[in-house]
Amino acid sequence: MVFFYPNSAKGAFESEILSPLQNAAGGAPFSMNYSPLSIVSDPTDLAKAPSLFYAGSLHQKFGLKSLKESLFIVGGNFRGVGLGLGLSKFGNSNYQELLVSAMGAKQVKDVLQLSFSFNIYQLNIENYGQALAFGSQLSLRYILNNLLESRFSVLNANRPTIGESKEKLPQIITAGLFIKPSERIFAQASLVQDTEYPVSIRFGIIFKMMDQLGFAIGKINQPNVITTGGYINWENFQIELGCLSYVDLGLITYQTGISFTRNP
Amino acid sequence: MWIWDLSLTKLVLVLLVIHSIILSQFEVIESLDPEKSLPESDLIILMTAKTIYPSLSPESASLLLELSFLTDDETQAIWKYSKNPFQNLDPFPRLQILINELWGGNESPDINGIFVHRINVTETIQYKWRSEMNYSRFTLGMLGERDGDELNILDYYSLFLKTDAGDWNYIFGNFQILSGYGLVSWRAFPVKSDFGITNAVMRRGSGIQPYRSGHESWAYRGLAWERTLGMGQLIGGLSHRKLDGSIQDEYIKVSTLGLHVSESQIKNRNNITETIGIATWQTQIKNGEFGLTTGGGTWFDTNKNQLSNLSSSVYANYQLSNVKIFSEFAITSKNKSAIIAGSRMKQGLFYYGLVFRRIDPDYFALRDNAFRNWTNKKFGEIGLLQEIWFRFHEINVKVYSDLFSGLKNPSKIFKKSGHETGLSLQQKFNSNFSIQVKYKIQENASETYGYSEDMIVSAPVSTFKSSIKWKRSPHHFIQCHLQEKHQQNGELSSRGVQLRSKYQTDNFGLNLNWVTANIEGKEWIYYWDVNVPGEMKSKVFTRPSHYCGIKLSYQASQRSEIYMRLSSTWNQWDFDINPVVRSALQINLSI
Repeated sequence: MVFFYPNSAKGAFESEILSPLQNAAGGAPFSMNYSPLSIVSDPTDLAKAPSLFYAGSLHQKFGLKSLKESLFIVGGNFRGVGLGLGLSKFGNSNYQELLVSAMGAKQVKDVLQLSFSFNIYQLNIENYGQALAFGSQLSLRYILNNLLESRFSVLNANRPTIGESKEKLPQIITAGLFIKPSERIFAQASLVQDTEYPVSIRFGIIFKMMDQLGFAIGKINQPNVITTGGYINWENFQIELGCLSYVDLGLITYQTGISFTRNP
Repeated sequence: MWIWDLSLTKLVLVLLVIHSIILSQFEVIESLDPEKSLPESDLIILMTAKTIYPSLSPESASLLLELSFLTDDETQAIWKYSKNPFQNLDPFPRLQILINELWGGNESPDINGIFVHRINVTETIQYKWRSEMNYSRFTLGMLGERDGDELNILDYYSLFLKTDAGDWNYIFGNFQILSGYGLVSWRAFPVKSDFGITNAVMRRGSGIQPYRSGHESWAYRGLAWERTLGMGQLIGGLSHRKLDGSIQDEYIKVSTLGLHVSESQIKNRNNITETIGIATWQTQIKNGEFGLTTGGGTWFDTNKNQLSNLSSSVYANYQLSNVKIFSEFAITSKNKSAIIAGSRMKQGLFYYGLVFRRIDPDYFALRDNAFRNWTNKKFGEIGLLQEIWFRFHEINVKVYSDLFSGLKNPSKIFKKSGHETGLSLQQKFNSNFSIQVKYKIQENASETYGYSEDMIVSAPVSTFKSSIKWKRSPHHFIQCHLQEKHQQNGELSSRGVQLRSKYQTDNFGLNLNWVTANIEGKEWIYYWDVNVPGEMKSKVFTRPSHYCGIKLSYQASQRSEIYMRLSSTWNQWDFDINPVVRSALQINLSI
């Protein structure tokens, strides 16, 4: 099957590693409701992570085996410093992208959570070879007041390239506001700027019906996507579901995830 | 084609907006001429000082002394005041306003650093980040910038670490050295003819400073140091970096654009490799100061062109009773020389200032940017500026006159000489209401329109500006600025009116700005745009236009603020055009 994507074709490692709940809430580029599955995209969550957690998610985009994304994360909080290791795979046996991310986060005063990730990108193309590159991510979360948080991150500001052709890996600026008008409603408005593409503007809301159940909806403008989904929380387990409707393509894709958190 | 030509509906729209919009912000810098460039570092310094320091202290004063727009007198006054708050600041109304704006509000919590994130939306999106942290004896600063369509997040970045050890002060990273009166090493922007200019020109360079500006090719990059010895102060710097620009026959033309989007811009990026060493020694003498600066640099470009240059200068100032004189003379290994000299006399409310300069054609040192009228270096310049201030009844009167001439005239089109004369009358009726009227005549074959080759034959241009400032209440300020500009040998005249209002509550602020400008011929009109903290853009009106700008500010907590601005410009008198919309979002965070 061949897709005719309305914009330019994307390069290696262009796929965002978001949790199902983040995708459901308008492709939120940062964590809105603490979930271990969000940590690769928003490692600031590690600063308040419990002593040990692990999590995994699976996403077979548009039901296609060749567009399978899988994510596994393990981490915890050690002496006030959050540490984590993430492993993400995308593709099939012919073409595979592998990302290993080592993350650390620290709370600074009462208002700032700062994190840094060291990323190893590996590209495997059958009968062609392998290539490696090293990237980085710097993220911050700042609590403006009880209602608002400012989020910001830069991915790959160190300008990594991969392969003999020196293909540029994505450099992404993310900025957003997290709004918490009540204990049960969380909202986000964000900009995601891959420096090679037009800016993506995103909005999303999570309704926390009860401690065990929540729903989310959202909108992404670049590409044009309407999102929805939710989560179920049971003791130390959380199951998440994200559903993305690509308006211009007329296609829908689903993502699921499960996480386990061991509280001290 | 003036206001009467509008249809009734549009006329009502204009008048309603003008009438209901109450505008303005009264920052000291907004009193400066919007036609003159202002270093970004000044705005950054003001924001940092306001955030990090709770009051005017010797520490915050030493930061404020890096402001470029302060005059010689003001720098001395601010330093004395920081040590003795009972010092009388009445002769320095700008300083009173500045200190009140910086520290007149609520007390800040204990803050060590600031981080600013700005998203600037025009046809493309520019991102800018800036941070400055104080930790013990260390100050760490960072600036990053990605202009619209640039492919790298940190297309430009600047870092510095400032510290001291014993009698030594050090700066690692990006720095600048301000030496003498600007003939060898100075800021990215020179001082230009204006009211109060002699006092600004007489301000001696203060040595090493961290480089905070977004001007990408002006900083030195390496190590700078400063030490006070028994025999004076020793300043030095070593720099090695790449910069955008080109090597001309006898000088380096540094690019000021900073954009790396088109093929030629990307090719021109880091085109030149520069290595510079510079040292200054200065000492106090009886009633004055004396100093020597010497430095050398080599430049290579990617086409294997090479240039090297040595330059040295001697400078001094001397105070005798109420007269102060200063001078700097510089010479380079390219056999080019330059001299700047001047004096001022203060007697009660009377002030007289004089500045003479002579700069050889193609004069080039290391980062020279002394006071001159023409920025084009090819023609050289000789000029004399005089200035008088006095008080007549309740009116402050300022007059200046600058006569200047090129030393070389290779182009027949280029007019060799020019002049600029200005008269300013200001009356402050009470603490809440003041009126200022300015009248300027300028004649210079100008680079105003950006032409570097074929200059336009100029005619004298008269500019009339009038400002009315009204503090309606402690929370509400209103300003009105009228402007008229015309060529003296022509009948065409450009006119503009700007209304500005600032309304401030405890947590929220609203700034509104309306401009209507009717432009005839090539006499463009400049007004300050609506700006978020840290930017100071002026808006130039080249066609009959209407402009509306709004800035909203929200103080989310004692440590954080959010600013948003939105502006719309209709570049047609009858509004029958799609407006140009621009916006920005800025978040200031401190820890």
